[in-house]
Amino acid sequence: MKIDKGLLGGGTLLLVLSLLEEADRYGYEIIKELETRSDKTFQYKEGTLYPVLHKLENNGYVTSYMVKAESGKKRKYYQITAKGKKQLIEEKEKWQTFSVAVNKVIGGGAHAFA
Amino acid sequence: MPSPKGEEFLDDVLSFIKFPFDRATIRLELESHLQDKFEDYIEQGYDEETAGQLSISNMGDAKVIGTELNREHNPYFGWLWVLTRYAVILLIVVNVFFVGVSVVMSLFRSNLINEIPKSNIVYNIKVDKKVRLDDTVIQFTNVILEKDGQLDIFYDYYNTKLWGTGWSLGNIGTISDDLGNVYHSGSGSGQGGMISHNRRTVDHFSSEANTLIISYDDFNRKYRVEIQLKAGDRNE
Repeated sequence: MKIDKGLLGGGTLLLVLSLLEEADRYGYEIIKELETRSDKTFQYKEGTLYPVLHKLENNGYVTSYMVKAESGKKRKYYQITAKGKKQLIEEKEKWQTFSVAVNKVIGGGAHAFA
Repeated sequence: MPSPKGEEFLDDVLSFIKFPFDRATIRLELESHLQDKFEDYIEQGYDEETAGQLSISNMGDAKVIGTELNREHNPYFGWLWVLTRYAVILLIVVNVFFVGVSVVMSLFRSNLINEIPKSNIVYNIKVDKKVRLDDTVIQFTNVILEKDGQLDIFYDYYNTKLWGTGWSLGNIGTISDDLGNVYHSGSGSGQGGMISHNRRTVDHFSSEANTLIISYDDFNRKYRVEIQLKAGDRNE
């Protein structure tokens, strides 16, 4: 299985879809989750998330809707679709293949993943 | 509202997006992101100016973001989508207009019955009988006997092929009654439209008759309609 290297770094698709599988989220929320859960390992140029989200939407992996918060702020929420969930499973498999392969090459804990 | 520098950043990003109809939502989305980030920095104790600057610089390069976004908001498909949508709406409007006009006009025309003064009416029987000649459906709606012996038979007809012009119905058949009288004299009138409203009148109709018989037998097409005159609903 090959790894898709599009999307401003291959793993973004997997990460974003995973976060959206848990809950509908808006852009800034996704950025914050990525930051805190990765202990700030993933610090994106935040604006570049939006082309990714819009691409996901164009591909039919997510849909979006506007919500007006109590503060009056309008936010665009993203929701994963059935097609997106299928894609997520595929991305997870790709990631497994990838990490196992990397581990084999570097000779580390390859057996733990096998 | 974002700072002037925030506005400048947003303008910069949007200048790369060629498809105008998506600009407003994109701007709104990025603007609320800047605002959220700004508020977070303020909460962390930054002063407003630093918070504003940091939230913009965290976004990244306006050109990169704008170019990438533009790729996802393809002007060609975008325009195609907008135009298709407008074409569909236009088509619907045009159709509704034309169908609507003729429906409304047929409604206004349907008052042939009201032309008869109520005081002249001996009885007015509501009828609901349908017959069919090829593609034309004839529906008898009312039979009114007037005091001077004139009997009015009201009927609508329409073509089942929606846009077919159909042939105009010249004659609904021979008018007779259960007493054996056959009525020849009289006149007909009608008004066109999608549904044509018509009146056929016969003179000197017997007030004793219990049943009105309309029978059609022409060009190998036949029907026979019997309408009970004394058992139906009556006005006065």
